[in-house]
Amino acid sequence: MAESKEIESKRPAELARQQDRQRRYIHPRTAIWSTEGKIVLKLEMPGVGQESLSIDIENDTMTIHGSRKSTPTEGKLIINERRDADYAKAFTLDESIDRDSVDAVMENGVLTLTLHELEAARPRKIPVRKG
Amino acid sequence: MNSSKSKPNELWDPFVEFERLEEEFDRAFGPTRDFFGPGLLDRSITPAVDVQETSDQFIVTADLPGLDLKDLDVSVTRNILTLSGTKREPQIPDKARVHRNELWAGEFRRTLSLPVAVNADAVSATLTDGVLTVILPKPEEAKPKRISITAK
Repeated sequence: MAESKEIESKRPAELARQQDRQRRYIHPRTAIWSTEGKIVLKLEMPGVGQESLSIDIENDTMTIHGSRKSTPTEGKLIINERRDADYAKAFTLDESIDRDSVDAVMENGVLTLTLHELEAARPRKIPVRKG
Repeated sequence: MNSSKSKPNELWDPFVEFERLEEEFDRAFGPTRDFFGPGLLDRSITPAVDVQETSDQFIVTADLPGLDLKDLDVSVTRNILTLSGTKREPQIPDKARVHRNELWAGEFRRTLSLPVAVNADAVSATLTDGVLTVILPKPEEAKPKRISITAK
């Protein structure tokens, strides 16, 4: 009972915002391109530093999570267009991607991931001999 | 909503959902620039901005991922703050196959008018992790003053 009282008193703005933050994410804007044997992903995550970023590969899923600080609540917000949420995005990797050679660089709020194709998965030319 | 299913222990409050819905509508149809957040339909050419007012200063925060200091120009005239610059295209090699490109590029200019004129010499701006923060101190005469009351 005491607990629900506490929630009740906190609820309207503050708790709603807390719960909101816990369950909602922004998908970072992304560009993906591939060149021979390489796939490059660029994700825009302004406000995310190198230390607040995590990239996990589990089975076939690569999950990128970047947490960013909320705008401090001192004073009043006259304009509020930036969303108060963390960034998250998951990608499915197929067997041709080398999981051990993923390169990640974070610069000015842009994450650049470079994935490499496995040598064995690359297309190969078969020379035809004269019989 | 599946969010309530995922955490059975959490007290589910329907009003929070209404608030969320209201917020989404405000975002979609309100006067702000950002329609559905970053995504398919969002191709706007101005950065998202927050403006915060405290008793002695304004704090302007703008999302500018991928910009260097040299790409960016901040100027203040009385109460008008102008952020302008160029966001460059990602460097995609010519022979690359592009699978998806949601990033916007090009010149932008955003002008914000503040409620009071600020002291232009005291304005400071920093760029960290793709977020520009401009701090604009209010002039002495615009700061709230406490008048002490004396009893007779």
